[in-house]
Formats: sequence, structure tokens, C-alpha cells
Amino acid sequence: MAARVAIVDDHQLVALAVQSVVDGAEGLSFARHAATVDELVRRMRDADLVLLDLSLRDGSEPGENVRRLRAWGADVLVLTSGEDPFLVRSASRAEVLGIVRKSVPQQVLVAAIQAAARGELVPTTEWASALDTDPLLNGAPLSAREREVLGLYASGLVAREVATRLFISENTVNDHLRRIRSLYHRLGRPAATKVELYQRGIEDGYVPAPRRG
Amino acid sequence: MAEPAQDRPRIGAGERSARQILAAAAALLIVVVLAVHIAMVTRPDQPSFPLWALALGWLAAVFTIATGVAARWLPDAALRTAALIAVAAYGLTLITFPFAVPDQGIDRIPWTLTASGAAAAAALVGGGRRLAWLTVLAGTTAGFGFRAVYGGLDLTGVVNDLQALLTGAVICVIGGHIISVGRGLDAAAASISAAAARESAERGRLAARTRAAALVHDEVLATLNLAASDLPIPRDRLAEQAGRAASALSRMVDEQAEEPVLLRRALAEEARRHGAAFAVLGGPVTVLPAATQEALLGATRQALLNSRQHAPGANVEVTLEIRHQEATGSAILVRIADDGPGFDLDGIADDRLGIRQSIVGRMSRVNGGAAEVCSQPGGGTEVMLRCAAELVRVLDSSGDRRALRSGLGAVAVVYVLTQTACAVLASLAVAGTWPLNLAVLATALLAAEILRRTPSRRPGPGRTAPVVALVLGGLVAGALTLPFGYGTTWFSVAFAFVFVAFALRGRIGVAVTGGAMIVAVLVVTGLAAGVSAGELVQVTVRPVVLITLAAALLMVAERLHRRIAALHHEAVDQAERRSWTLAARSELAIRVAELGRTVVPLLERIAAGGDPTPAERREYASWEGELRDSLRAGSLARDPLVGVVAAARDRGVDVVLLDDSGGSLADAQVEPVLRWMADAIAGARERAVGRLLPAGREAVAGVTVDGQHTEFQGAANIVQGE
Repeated sequence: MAARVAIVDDHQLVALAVQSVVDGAEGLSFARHAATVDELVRRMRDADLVLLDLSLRDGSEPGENVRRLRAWGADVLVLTSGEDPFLVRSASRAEVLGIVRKSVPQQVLVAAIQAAARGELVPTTEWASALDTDPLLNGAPLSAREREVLGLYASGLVAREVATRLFISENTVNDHLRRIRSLYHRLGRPAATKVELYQRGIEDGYVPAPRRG
Repeated sequence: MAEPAQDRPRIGAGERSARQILAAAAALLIVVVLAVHIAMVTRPDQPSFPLWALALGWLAAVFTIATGVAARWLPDAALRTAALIAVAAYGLTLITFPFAVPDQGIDRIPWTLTASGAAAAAALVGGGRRLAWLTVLAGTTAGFGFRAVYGGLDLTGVVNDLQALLTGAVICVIGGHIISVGRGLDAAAASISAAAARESAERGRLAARTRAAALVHDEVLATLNLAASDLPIPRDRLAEQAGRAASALSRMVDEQAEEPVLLRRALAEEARRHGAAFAVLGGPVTVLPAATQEALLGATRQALLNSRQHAPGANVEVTLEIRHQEATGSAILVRIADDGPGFDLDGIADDRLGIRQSIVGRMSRVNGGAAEVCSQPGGGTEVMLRCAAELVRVLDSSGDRRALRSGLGAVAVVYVLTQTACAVLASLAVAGTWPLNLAVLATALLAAEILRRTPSRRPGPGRTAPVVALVLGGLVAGALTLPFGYGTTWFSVAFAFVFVAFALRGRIGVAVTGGAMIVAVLVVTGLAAGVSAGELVQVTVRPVVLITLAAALLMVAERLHRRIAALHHEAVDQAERRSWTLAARSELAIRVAELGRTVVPLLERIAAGGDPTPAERREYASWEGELRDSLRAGSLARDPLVGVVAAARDRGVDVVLLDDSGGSLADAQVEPVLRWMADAIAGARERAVGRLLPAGREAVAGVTVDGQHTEFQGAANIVQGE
């Protein structure tokens, strides 16, 4: 059965373009386009995967948008035109499968959507770079190997290339990435009061960010 | 002359009004002196002075009064000149006095000769503190000298001169302080205004850049991206969107260069839109950083939406409060409260509660930001938002503190010396009264000393009560036991001075009440002693004048300083808005000119319709990449890398440049990286990612070209290069 894909984007033309990509790809079917998350979730769930524009002009916050779509019952893959690392982080702290740039080659975009439709993680350079520079992650319990994987990913390598470089299997790389993602997701939850205070301190420049040895 | 403010821009509003007050005070003092002189002291049997001397005295008096009356309308230079003429006339009266004495001699010199208070005030207006003290000393010296030569060197005369000296000293200090506070306010306003304008321009530029970037991001990137792709997109729709994007860019200067919206106005608008009441508590708030203001507005909007959703029909109120706290800096508080049914906060899971996420999360990202949601079933819901108000400016000037302290020190010395001299002279004049005079003197000095040692600036009731009791007790005891007369009742001024000190310490009410009580005691004891009305007025006039003058001067000056501070606040706000708007417009104009050269022609070509050639597609992709770089490539967006990257994109390579260094690299460190990265990307076939690494990593930069990753060993390479 084909996975149903909806898109939330300000531009109808972008939706049209994505629709043609989705309809032409194996295992995917286009569900619906909405200009805002509100508009999409107002109806019964009719999509398994939502492609969400990172910066919608209705002033909504990406993290909040992701959470609402998750609550609606769909997986989320974020699409972005440019990479504002703050917005990317905000979305990453919520439960997204990945952050993909709209201007990547078409076959890359299709592969990303197909992977997301299977519920797989879609790690990208943009996603890894935003995480790799987040002071919040500096204080998080990541192993040296995990940091290395994240750093290489942020520098443009893909899982297969990281695996070759570090003499480990591609599966191991993907395990590392999954753990980084879920850890980051946990850090982003508002219940982590202490962490959030710590993070606020770093962002405001009150607490010096820890250096990596 | 309707607008004296524009006559001499060099002098600030604060200093000018302080001078006007003092000129008016000088005039008022002359009026009092003249009234007392005409009504009480003129004796028809005195030999008359020559006409020229009388004319000179009257000239000094009338000129001082005229200057005081006209002060409001005189330009500053004219006011100062007029005041100097009045002082000169007084000085001339003193100098020429020996020539004016009639041949047959006089009983005693006129007391008006040593009434230097008015002249001292005028000297402050025209010259300054030094001239004022000089005037007072000249009056006192001349008084003693002329009394010795021409007569009047008796208890009444000497006490009169000594108390005139004290009055003059008080005027010098209070008047000097008032001028210095005014001047300080002007200076503070000028420096704040300049700093605010600079800061505001910077924020205006930043806001303009953000707006331009947002427009480019929302419209241009999307359009170029679609135009570059080979997806089946309706050409006419794309042309339409390109046309919209092009015209949005060219209209950017006029539409995006808005004036900064004050938080107050923005919140009022938000409240109005949701049918909520709005109130403001506390002082002025100028423009906040855009991110902070947006967070506050967004969180407020969310709270209002929430209220409407969960408590339909409830009364909702938005309150903006600005709290000034010296220790922790000022804070902005926004409270959104409804009287709806409320809910049980604990009953809702953390991640299910939209309110927590969007309100608390939003506020936690701004400086000093926090949010709190309070609600209970049946008790309504209250949302408190809080953030640091970095930009609240409090205009304050306490004047030249050191000058005030040394002035008060001088007055204290003058006080002790003059009152001791008065007590000694009074003891000598009336035999057998020395223990009483000494006791009265000791009481007055003790009261003054207790007040001086009060640690807080405004003495509380615990200090005020014993001092007032001492003063009134001493006064009553002295008035009952010592003979009643101008010289023998010298201590009325000694006690009145204590109330002047109260006025100086901000207890004007105590000072005025104390003055009234002194008058009451003097009148009752005077009437009981059976003295004439004339003598009664003579004795009471100086304490009354001393206290009233000090209290009135301080009160008027305080009100005036508040008004001036408000005036300056407005000027600062205006300077801020003006420089914001100017800077934002020029920044946008620069961006539009840039985009007009580069992107707008492309958009116009797309808008013209028609199928793009593959070369054109690659050109669109290349420009899309370059615009993306302006958001994220930071220090990497420079030659020679920019040219190489553009060429690679023209070849169809997907290039991503990321500056994750957080500004930790100097230009000299980036330059070799640029050359190294350009060499690597020049050979790219499909995909290239160039990245400046975060500080603290082994390498400073990395590049991945078609799956091959290399790192730049910054420091080593630079050392080798040298």
C-alpha cells in the first residue's frame, strides 16, 4: 500500500512541484496541500507523512508545528529553502525524521521522502550541522564516536562514506545517528527543566559553554 | 523671541530653567526687602541721602525685579547680562556708600545695605557660585566696615549682618545645586540621546536586514528553486510568482522600512484584536530588540487564543508593567488574565499542553525571559510573561554631588560661626544672660548635629521628632526667658536654619510646618512681652524668609527637573525613532540596489514566461545557492571561494557552504581556508560541502567533495605559510 504524503507550505507552486515528485515515485501517493498546520489538522488524518515547510509565514514555530503534526498522528519530514540553524534545531528537538533542503537534486529528494515514508531516519548535512553547533549538545552524554559521526555528517558525508572512513559498518553509523536524534529529542522536551535552564544560560552567555577535550 | 529654546542651542533646557527660577527668587527677595524697609524701618527723621545714591539703590532693586519677572521670556545670554547688571548695581551701591553719607553723619547705616541674598541669587544667574559667594562676603564685610565708621555697630546691627550672611550662604548653596542639577540633566540627556541614536540605528539596520532576508527567503529562493528544477510546473503560474517576487523586492524600501513599533502599541493592538482590555503600569519603554518583542507578542497572542478557546465569553485583561529594580535591572511583565472556568494544570500531560510549549518555550529564548501559567478549576487562568528590559532609560541627575557637599560644609561652618558670634554678642549686650544664650545656642547646634548625622537622606519620624522637639523647646525657652528684640531674639534664625536643613533633605512638609510653629511661638511670646507690631515683624521676617525661600526653591526646582527630564525623554525617543528609520531605509536601499543588479533581472526573465534552457536553469540554481549562502555561509561567502562555487553550480554541482565557526576565526585565519577550499571545490562533479568547524575542534575547516572528505589543519598550515 502506498504511503499517503501531505505537504504544508505557503507556496502553492511548491506543493504542485512536490505533488508531481510524489506521484511519480514508487510507493507514494499525494494526499493534500495546506498552507498552515491548522488547516491540515482541522480534518481527519488522511496522510501518513507530512512534508512541513520550516518557516511558515503565519508566525508559527517549527517545533510546535512538528508536535502538532505528531499529535495528529503523522510522521514529519521538514523541507527548508535556506538553513536557519535556530529553526532547524527547534524542529529537530521535536520528533522529526529529517530536515531536507528543497534545492537538493530531485532523486535525492525522492529518496528522502521514500525513506521517511518507511519511517526511517533521514539524516542530512543541514540537520547534522545545526545539531553539531548547538551548545545544548555540548553538555549532553554523547560518546566520542558519536560526536565524530555527527561532525563528519555535518561536513557533508553520508552514512556509507562515514562508515568507510571510520572502518565501521553502515548499520553502526545509522545506530549512532538514531541515538543522537533520540537524545536530542529528549533534551528538547520542556520537562527537562534543569537542562533547559542550563541551555538558556549558555544562549544568553551567562554560562560558558563546555569545551570538548 | 517666542521660542527661546532655539536661541542658544549650547545651553540645555535644564540649566536655563534653573537660572530662570533663581532670577525669580532674586526678584521675590527684593520685594520682601522693600516691603519690610518701607513699612517698618524708614524713619522720617533720618538725614536724607543724595538723590544719585537713592537712584542707584532703586536701580539695583528695580532691575533685579524686572529681570526676575522677564526671565521666562529672556534668551539665556540676555538673562545672564541683566543679572550681572543687577549684581553690579548692588556692588556699586556698596562702593559708593561712603560718598553718599550726608555731611552731618547718620545714626546707623541702612540695613538694606547688607541684605545680599537677592544679589547672591542674581550673581548665581549671571556668573556662578564664586561670584555669588563673593557678593555675600562683600555685603557682610561692607556692613561691618560701614557700621564701624558711620554707626550701627550694636547688637541689632551685627546680628542682622550675621544672619544676612547665613541667608546668603544658604542661597549660594541651594541655588548652585539647582543649576548644577539642571546642567547634569542636560548632559545626561545629550549623552543618552547620542548613545540611543547609535544603538537604535544598529537595531534598525538589523531589522531591515532581517526583513530583507525574510523576503528573499520567502519569495525569491522559492521562485528560483522552482525555476531551476525540471519538474512539470505550469509556466504561467511560475511567471506570475516571479513577477510578484520582483515587485515585492522593488517595493521593499517603501514597505519594509517601517518605524519601530513600541511594545505598548503592539500589545494594545493585539489585545484589541482579541477583545481584551489593556492597561499599562509603570514607566516608559522604548524599542525592544525585535526578537524579544516578537517573543512577547507571540506568547501574548497564544495566551489570548487559549483564553478564547477554553474560556469563551470570559473577561480577558492584558497588563503591561515595567518594573525598575536597581539591583537586577528593569523587567517587563505582561500579564494575561481571564475570569473563565480555569483548569487543572496537573491534569494535563506536559507535552500535550500547547500553552506550555508555545508560551514557555518562546519566552525562554529571550534575554531574562520566563513565563508562568497559573490556573485552577473555577479560579480563572493567569499567564505571566517576563523579560529583561535592557532599553529602559532612566534619566536622572543628582547634580554635582561634591560641590553640594562642600557647599553644605561651608554653610555649616558659617552657621556655627555666625550663631556663636550672635550668642556671644547677645550675652555681652544684656548682662547676666550668658548661660541662657549659651544654652539656646547649644540646643540649636545639637538639633542641627543630630540631623546632620542622620544616615538616610530623608530623615524618618524617629529622627524628626526629637529634632523638632529640641528646636521648639529651645525656641520657647529662649523666647520666654530672654528679652524680645531683633538682636536679642537672634536664635529664631538659628532654629529656623534647622528646618532649612530638613527642606534640603527632602522633608519640605516638616520645614514649612516648623516655620509656621516658629512664627506662632514668636508672635505669642512677642505679644505677651508687649512689643510693637513693627518689631514683631522685624523679628519674624528673617526666619520666615529663610525657610520659605529654601522650601519654595527646592520644591519648584524638583517639579521643574521632572518636567525637563520628561522633555528630554521625548527627545531621546525621537532621536531613536529617527535614526532607526533612517538606518533601516538606507540598509534596505542598499539591499534593493544589490538585488536589483543581480536577482531582479532573473526574476523578470522568469516572469516573461517561456521555457528556460538548461543553461538558464543552472544559472537560476547558481543564484539560488548564492542567496542561500548569504544566510548561512558567513565568512565563507568571499572571494576567491565565491567565484569558484558559482562556477561549480553553473556546472550543475550542488554546493553547500556552512559557517559554523561562530565568528571565532579572524580574517587572516579564514583567507588560507578560502584558497584551500576553492581548490578542492574547483574539481567537484556532483556534490560539495565546505564548512568552517565550531571552535575547539582539531581542524578549523573541512570540505567534502563527491564523498572525499579532507580537513584543513589551520594553525599548522598558517605557520608553514609564513
